[in-house]
Amino acid sequence: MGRLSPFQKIYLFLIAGFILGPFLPLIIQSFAFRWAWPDLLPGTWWLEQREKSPIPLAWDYVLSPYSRIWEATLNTVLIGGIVTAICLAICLPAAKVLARDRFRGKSLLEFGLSLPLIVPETAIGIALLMMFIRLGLAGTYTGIIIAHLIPTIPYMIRMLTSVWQGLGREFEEQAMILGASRWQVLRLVTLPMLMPGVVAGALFSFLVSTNIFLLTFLLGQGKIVTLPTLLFSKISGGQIDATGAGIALIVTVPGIAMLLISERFLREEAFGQGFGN
Amino acid sequence: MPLLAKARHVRVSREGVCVTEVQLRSVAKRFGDEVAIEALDLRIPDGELVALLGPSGCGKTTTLRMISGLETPSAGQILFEGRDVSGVSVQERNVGMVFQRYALFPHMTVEKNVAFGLSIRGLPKSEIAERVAEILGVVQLSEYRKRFPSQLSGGQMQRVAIARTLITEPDVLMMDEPLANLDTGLRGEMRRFIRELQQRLGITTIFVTHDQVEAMELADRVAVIFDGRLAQYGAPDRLYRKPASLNVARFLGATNLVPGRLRDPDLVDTPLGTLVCPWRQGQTGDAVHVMARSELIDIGTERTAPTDIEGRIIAREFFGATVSYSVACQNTHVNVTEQARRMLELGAPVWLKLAPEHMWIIPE
Repeated sequence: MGRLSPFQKIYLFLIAGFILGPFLPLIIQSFAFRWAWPDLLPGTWWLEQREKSPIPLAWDYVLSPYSRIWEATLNTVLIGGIVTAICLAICLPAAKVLARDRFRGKSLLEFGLSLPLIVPETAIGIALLMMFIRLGLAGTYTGIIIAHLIPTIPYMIRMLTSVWQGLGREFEEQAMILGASRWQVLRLVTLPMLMPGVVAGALFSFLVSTNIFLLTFLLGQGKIVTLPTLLFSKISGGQIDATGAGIALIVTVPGIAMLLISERFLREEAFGQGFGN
Repeated sequence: MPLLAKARHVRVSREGVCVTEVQLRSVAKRFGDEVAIEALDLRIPDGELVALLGPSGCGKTTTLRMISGLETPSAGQILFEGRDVSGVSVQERNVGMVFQRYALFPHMTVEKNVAFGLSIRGLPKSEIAERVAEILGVVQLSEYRKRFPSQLSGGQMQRVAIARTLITEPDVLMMDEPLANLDTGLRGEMRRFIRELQQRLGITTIFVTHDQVEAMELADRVAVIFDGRLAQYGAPDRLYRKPASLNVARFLGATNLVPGRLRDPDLVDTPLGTLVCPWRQGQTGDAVHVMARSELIDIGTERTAPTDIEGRIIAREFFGATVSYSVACQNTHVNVTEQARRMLELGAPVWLKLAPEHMWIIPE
């Protein structure tokens, strides 16, 4: 890799600033005790007042059981994980058919699959709520997981369809001719070759699931708290205080953790070599 | 299951290698309403190298896939050494296939790729290692065993694909367009390599190609397939010199196909005059074509025999080793190719000699 020109460096800094910039006030806010306008930095920091304050302050509150942050994190990760697993199980075979076979009504089906991305979440949420209340699924994990599958499946299907398209039939046929059973073909050839797409799709649907507010809010009925619903309840007053800032920072953690894990996983695979033909 | 516990249909050649005769008996294949293969009868003798030649979409690849077991024939039988294998699954059929783009598993090293067929059969690790080392020696790739496919050249990838197939000791080896993806220099090398390996192992080999040169270069016999039907089956030189039909002649690159009418069994009236040709069959008055290969026509600047045909050079193409002339004679054109020892001028009057033994009558 060559060295970057000054212009490229400035450009890179600007992009990084654009993405990371919004987090800076959040971080400062979460550590602030008093941050009055027009001060550039808080007048009093959290740590200075920690011993004297009669009520728990930002991080003390966020990390205490009262904030329900652990419960929310656990719920978020659990729901995200299960949704991703179910989504993969549904989409892997479906994407194979979409990528390789031609059948009547295929384009209609493809359009239908992207509908959840077009129809407003509110509409889906309210429709589901009416059904789920009757079915007794409102306020249950099952209900929320089903609801989360609706916006995650379109992403996963798209991602996996393109991976299947890139995987010619000849690899599987070659393995069969060499004597591999169906299961061996899947385990030794198909899945390893699909892995980059599977990881990317899983990462995406996990992130989508952990970010869903409205569906969780409507169908959880306040009984199931996830990080986005917790955050919204904190900021619904229209003003971000230090505890809100702290929770907002925690909300980003599962996504970042997931990204790091998958990044590492992808690098360890031999796919850095690329697919030569 | 031990690898060598093969089906009963296998015979053993002098060198101890299994040889198998492959036979297709009125094999047909339809995809829905589309007919891919009409009714194909073909006998591929054991230990021979046979090419299935035809334009794209003629059904040659479908035929190969049916022999390998990847497709099931709609009708007819496929016999290995006289035994019907139509009901035998791909995995059990014990054939080998080298795909056009090699289909090397990109996430495995050369070594793992080659070992694949053995490791899925659960052979002991030591035996696998031994046989992989041996076959990599045969294809001269021992030092590349730790590489990934994307780090190899086209020729090396093909040799890995061949090694991976041969290690399972298939009864029949199949190749899809084996030379198509290689550049000119490598083609010759790979051609010699495949030919030598095939002869050493004596394994029945079938390959598919749309390139008549590739078929000529490699095969003992060529089966020309048009529109799902066998047009002609025979040795390359026979197909080249004595095509059974106009289509076969054209597909094998014949340029001089002169229409005519049979006067006597060995005399044909054509726009070039009455030509003497070796007798075949047919009756007086039959419409026929006379084929004269461009490199078998002698061209001269003087008339030396009364049967010489007068003409004038109207175009010239120089190919380095050879020169090709387009000669206007009477109302028609004749292409003549000769070695580039001399260059005849455009517009020069010339005399063509069409020797009877170099002509071939193709019935309509």
